Amino acid sequence: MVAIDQEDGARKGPILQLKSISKRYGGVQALSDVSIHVNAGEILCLVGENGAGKSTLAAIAAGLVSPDSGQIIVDGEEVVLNSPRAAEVAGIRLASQELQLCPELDVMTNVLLGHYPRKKIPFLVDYNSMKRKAEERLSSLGLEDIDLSQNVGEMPVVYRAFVQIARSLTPGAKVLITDEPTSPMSDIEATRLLKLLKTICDQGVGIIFVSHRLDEVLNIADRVLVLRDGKLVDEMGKNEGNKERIVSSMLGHTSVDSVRASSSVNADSEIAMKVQNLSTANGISETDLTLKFGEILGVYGIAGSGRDSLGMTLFGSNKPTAGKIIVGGNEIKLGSIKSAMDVGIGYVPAERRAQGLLLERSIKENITLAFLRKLSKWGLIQKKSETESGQLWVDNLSVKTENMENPVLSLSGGNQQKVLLSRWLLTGCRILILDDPTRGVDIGSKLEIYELLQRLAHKEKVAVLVISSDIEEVLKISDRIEVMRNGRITLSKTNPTQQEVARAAYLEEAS
Amino acid sequence: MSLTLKKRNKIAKEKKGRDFGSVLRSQGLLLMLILMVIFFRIQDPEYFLTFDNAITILVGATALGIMASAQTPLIISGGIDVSVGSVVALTTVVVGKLLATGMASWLVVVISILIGTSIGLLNGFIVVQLGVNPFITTLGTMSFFSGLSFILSAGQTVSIRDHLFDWFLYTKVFKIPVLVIIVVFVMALAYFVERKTVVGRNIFAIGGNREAARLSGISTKMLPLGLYVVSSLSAALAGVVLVCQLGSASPQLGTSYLLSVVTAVILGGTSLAGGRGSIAGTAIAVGILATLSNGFAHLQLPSYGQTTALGAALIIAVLVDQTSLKMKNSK
Repeated sequence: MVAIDQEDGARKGPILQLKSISKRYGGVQALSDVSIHVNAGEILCLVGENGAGKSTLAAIAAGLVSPDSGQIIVDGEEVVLNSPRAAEVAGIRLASQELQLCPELDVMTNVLLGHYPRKKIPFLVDYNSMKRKAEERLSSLGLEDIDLSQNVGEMPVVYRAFVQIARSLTPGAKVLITDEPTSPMSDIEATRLLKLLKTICDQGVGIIFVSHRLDEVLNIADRVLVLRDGKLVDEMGKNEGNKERIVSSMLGHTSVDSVRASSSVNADSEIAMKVQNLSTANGISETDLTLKFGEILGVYGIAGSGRDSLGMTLFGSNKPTAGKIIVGGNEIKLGSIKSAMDVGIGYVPAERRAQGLLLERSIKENITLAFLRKLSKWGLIQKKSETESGQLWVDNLSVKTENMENPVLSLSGGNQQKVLLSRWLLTGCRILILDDPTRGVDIGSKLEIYELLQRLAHKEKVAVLVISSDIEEVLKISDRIEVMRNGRITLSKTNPTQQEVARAAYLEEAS
Repeated sequence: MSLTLKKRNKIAKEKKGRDFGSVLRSQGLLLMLILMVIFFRIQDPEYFLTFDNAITILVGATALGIMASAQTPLIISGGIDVSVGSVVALTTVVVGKLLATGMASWLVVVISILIGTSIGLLNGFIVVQLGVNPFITTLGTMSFFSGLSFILSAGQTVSIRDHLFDWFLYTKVFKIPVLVIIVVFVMALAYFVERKTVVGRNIFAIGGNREAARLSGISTKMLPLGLYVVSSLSAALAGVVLVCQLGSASPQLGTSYLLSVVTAVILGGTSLAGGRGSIAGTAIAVGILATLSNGFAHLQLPSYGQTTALGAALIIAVLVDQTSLKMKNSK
């Protein structure tokens, strides 16, 4: 299926070249003059922090996004990839993180999705031929044991990934790009997927493998490329790579230059929340956490470390399978947002558009959404109180708007985030949990939000928990840092170095 | 993605002009109503646009108005209830049967209210607690209760005469029939709740972004449940009103009402997707429908022409909404 002539020793060069690729999104330079190449039969791994540009690069190579400048050369010929179809025609295949399969259809249909063999009579599908072709494709990948008639939706994750990859390897595939395919998998399942990738690359396909899991990367990569802030900063050959080097390249220097206001929290300070033995179905294992009034506790971890669902769990949106959360000396009811709010916990979710804001409603209404009961008498909203509350927080947080009756959609990302923050500050919550509080926010608003959080904790003695995927952010504002990996805390320290935090997040051995 | 201040102000104006747009929509609707009235007036100046005519229209709009007032907040919250027609039918049949047994009419009304409430609880439970899609759920209950009303009545239409009902029908306060006062009151109440109360705000929140509402501490179970109860209750009350007005009970009464109710709500500017809309728009739309019906009847135009006209108005209204939504979103 993917046979590329291996005897073609006079291969003109790499099978895919991306030369001087640059891409800007609004105010952010996602990629800056990046050049990479992949050879046939080679596995190239791309690594980097969130926002380093690896997914953007993969998207550009797959024709999903057009670069602002740069060239793409496939097999010696320059191509313009203005659509995924163009990329497919050029021989580039993408097996993305999101499922490209139809869960209600069987394996056979999914493998040949959109390319069903036809009978001579128009409109009719040749099912016999389809069965044969599907079998051929699967066995060329060593996947003969997959049942063609099973519905894809009922298969375990790793098998779905197999079918997905089989599907994307339509004839003429020269390059396969796969973006974090092992994210939802356990180590054992991931190993099987890696084996499949090796098989594919032995058949002459070049593979670009984007991943966060450094063990896997070192396991199968022929070369490792490290991206940081949109630039290519390091390249390692097969035996040159090691985790330490990758991590330090990914992170570069710390730029913790702003003066950090000091917290006066010590061992005797009042405990705001005590988490004991917390476990969830989706990523947290027996975790303990203590949060005190008057401090900013930062929690850092990569995707899948459990950090992503911690906030929701503590706020009661997600019910843990085990553990206790103790506030004010009492255990609170788990999995209940109402109980969390009743004891004074507030939560700013990671996705402000999807999870936080009512985009079409006014700024004022968005600010007061969680506090309406207190702003009303007998169920009737007191207009004056509402307006005053809204204006108070628009002023306090300097939300840039001429009129708070404007829809919140009209605000920039940073100001939208401030509105969301105001919602919780208005409630007067004493424990504030924030998930990725400055994601997609401009520098100016970022700094304002950091200052606000510091004031909140150090002056108002609110207990602030910042859960973040941004290592610099965590280092910048936290008084104390906890690092999560594989569902557990691997580091708990007051002033760790960036290296310590990164090691704890990425590597096996705790610092 | 950062927007320049200019662009943001432009969007703000467009958006204020989207609340202006729904004001514009209401104005467009008012225009439609006015044009319609003018048209009919030209046809028969003696009859149209007189006080009596207006009253007749309003009386005719009572049942529809009550149901549309309940359906609007339900749709805004992201739900829908297509079983309202059958609840009307069932209620009229039950009222007919009970009155025939000699039961006191006030008690009959109370029982109708109980029936409406129970059906609403049933719908609400299935949608909210069991998580079944609202359209499918209420489609199911629609068929169930429609069938039930045919069974109970053996398919027969029964005529009703009762003084409580007569009282409702004929009593006027300052020349305005009690029924009209009732429907105006219900609409005003619905408008009040929508604009001024916490409940109203929560309805928009749940419909606009359920997750955001949930994460702000708003219960996404109790309120929707309540809305389904209100919807079925409104249908039961509309059934009682219809029995008063028509003097008869029939299992076939409800079916055309479903179409009219949903048409009124959508025509009035409420989006089926939830999160947007207003009783104000619904009220004008109900006025349009009732005027249309009255006009056709008086001019002895074929009644099916009405359905065609309505269908056309609905499609145009939805298209206008979609286009303006697309223009807004492509920035």
